[in-house]
Amino acid sequence: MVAKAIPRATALNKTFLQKLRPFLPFYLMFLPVLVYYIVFLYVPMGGIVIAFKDYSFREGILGSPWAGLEKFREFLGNRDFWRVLKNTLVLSFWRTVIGFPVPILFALLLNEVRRPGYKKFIQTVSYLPHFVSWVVISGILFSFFSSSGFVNQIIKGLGGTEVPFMSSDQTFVWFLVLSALWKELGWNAIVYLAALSSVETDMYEAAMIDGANRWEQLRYITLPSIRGIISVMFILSLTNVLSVGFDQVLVLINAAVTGVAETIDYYIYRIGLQQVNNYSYATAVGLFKSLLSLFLVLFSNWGAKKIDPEGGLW
Amino acid sequence: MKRKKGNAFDVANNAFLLLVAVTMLYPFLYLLLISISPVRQVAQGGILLWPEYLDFTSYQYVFRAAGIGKAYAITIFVTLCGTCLSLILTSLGAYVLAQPVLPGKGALTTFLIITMVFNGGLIPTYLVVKNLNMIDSVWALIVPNAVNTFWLFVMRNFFRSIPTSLAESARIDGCSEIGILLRIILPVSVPIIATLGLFYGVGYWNQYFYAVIYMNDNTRMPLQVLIRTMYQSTTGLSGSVVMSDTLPPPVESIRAATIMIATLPILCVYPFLQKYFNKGIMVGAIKG
Repeated sequence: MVAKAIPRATALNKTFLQKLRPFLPFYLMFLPVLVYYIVFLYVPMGGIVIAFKDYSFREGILGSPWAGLEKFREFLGNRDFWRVLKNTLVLSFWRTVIGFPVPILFALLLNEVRRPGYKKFIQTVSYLPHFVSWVVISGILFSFFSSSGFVNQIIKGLGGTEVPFMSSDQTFVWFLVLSALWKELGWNAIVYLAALSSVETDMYEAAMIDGANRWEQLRYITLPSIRGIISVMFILSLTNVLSVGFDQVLVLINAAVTGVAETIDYYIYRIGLQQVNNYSYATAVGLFKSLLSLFLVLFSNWGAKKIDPEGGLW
Repeated sequence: MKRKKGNAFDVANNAFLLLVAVTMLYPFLYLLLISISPVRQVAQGGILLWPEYLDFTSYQYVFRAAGIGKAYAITIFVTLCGTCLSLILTSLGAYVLAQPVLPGKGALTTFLIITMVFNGGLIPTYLVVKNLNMIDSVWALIVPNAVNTFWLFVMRNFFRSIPTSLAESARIDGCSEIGILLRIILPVSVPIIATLGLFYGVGYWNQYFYAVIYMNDNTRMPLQVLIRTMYQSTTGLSGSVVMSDTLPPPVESIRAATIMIATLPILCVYPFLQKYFNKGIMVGAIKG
């Protein structure tokens, strides 16, 4: 039996390999990509195991002793963790409420512009802040919003009192939300503009013959035709709910506002790399964050499909 | 059948959009203005409307400060090498996954998509880079983030939109797959290559956080880190950098010049590549 089975198996393998042979060049071309993903994305996933260990440099990832769920208990009982979680949620709530619809509105307004040259000019200018780093933007914001900056000079010139935009708990969250909106407005509108430009013009012409005004055209043609892309973009934006603008926080945070400005990502960075090198603890917090956002994405994708079978990412 | 022209809505809309554009352009113009204004005029304080004459003292000052030439060199190297590597890996992956028939394609696609919704996080990634002995090497700024999965799929969708007959006829002529990618596919994919090249390039140029965590050596800082350091060192005091014979320019001038130095290269490039965005994004972003 065994002796019979072996040749059959190899014969099968041979035909299987023969079938794959013409595709060999493709697999070879994919190899570097595969290596990249394994080394820099999948190996770190395996490295998450240190969240369940007491990691030390000397003993390495495999040699360090197991700690079970101790690190998770530790951060769940830590008030700092709950504070940064709340900060993150507050920040991303406002970033979604303001930062998600405004670019759509901007795209719709831009779409109403009749002169192509003017439209293009506004569009080009609106991309500008997106291409500039947060390091530079923070410098610009400082020149404009610091106590001796441009805006406060105008306020003082008009007889008002100085507003501490960048160093007060009350204003800082708004400062983050609005500066991110300003930076990404034009950029986030691109997808919608692309979708809008692919709406067929016959539909508008037909609607106009039927006597539809511009508002009705917007309501019954434009919005329905970009509904799909809006739902996709919304789910995509949820993947980032728990990692709101790390670079932004990193360059704008200051001692006066850490109470409201420290986010989960910043906390992980501070605990893990900047201050105490508590790798296991920081990794445990990171895992918690990743799982929570994974759940959010799966849940909202399921929700989008419930509402509209065509909706959702996959 | 033409829509009525020039009604109140159009006027208000155009004016509003102009206002939005001004808030985006003016801050850059204002800092440009400060950076080229006479230092005496800036030192007087207040809001500057127009320079009395052109003065590049603050630029000279910044360029004489330690390390800026080296930082520029590092950033240019990282941007050029990084963009090339990113485009090579992205187009290889995108081309293979764009094949209509390929055993295991679904598995490979899933393998890539998983990384979009779940990843190892900061510390495990840091440990990998550290264990590869890449800390303090410029390659740490290039290799660990070479591929953006979302953009890879955008490129794949673009490749899919190219008629397969092009590749088929080359295959019949005996062209190798890599040859087809290089000689047939890439030349008709200029919009997506230009778009993603710009995105990757800007990403490398603006890279700050990875440089903070991977580059501990203060003598090998890329531009963004150096600028951040210079900016912070001018917050409390002015003129601690070099300069001895003359008074240093006011802090505002130095900061404005620093910002311009970091930004001008990008501002010069992106408007020219912009024409490709819409086309590249539109074809590439179709759900699939």
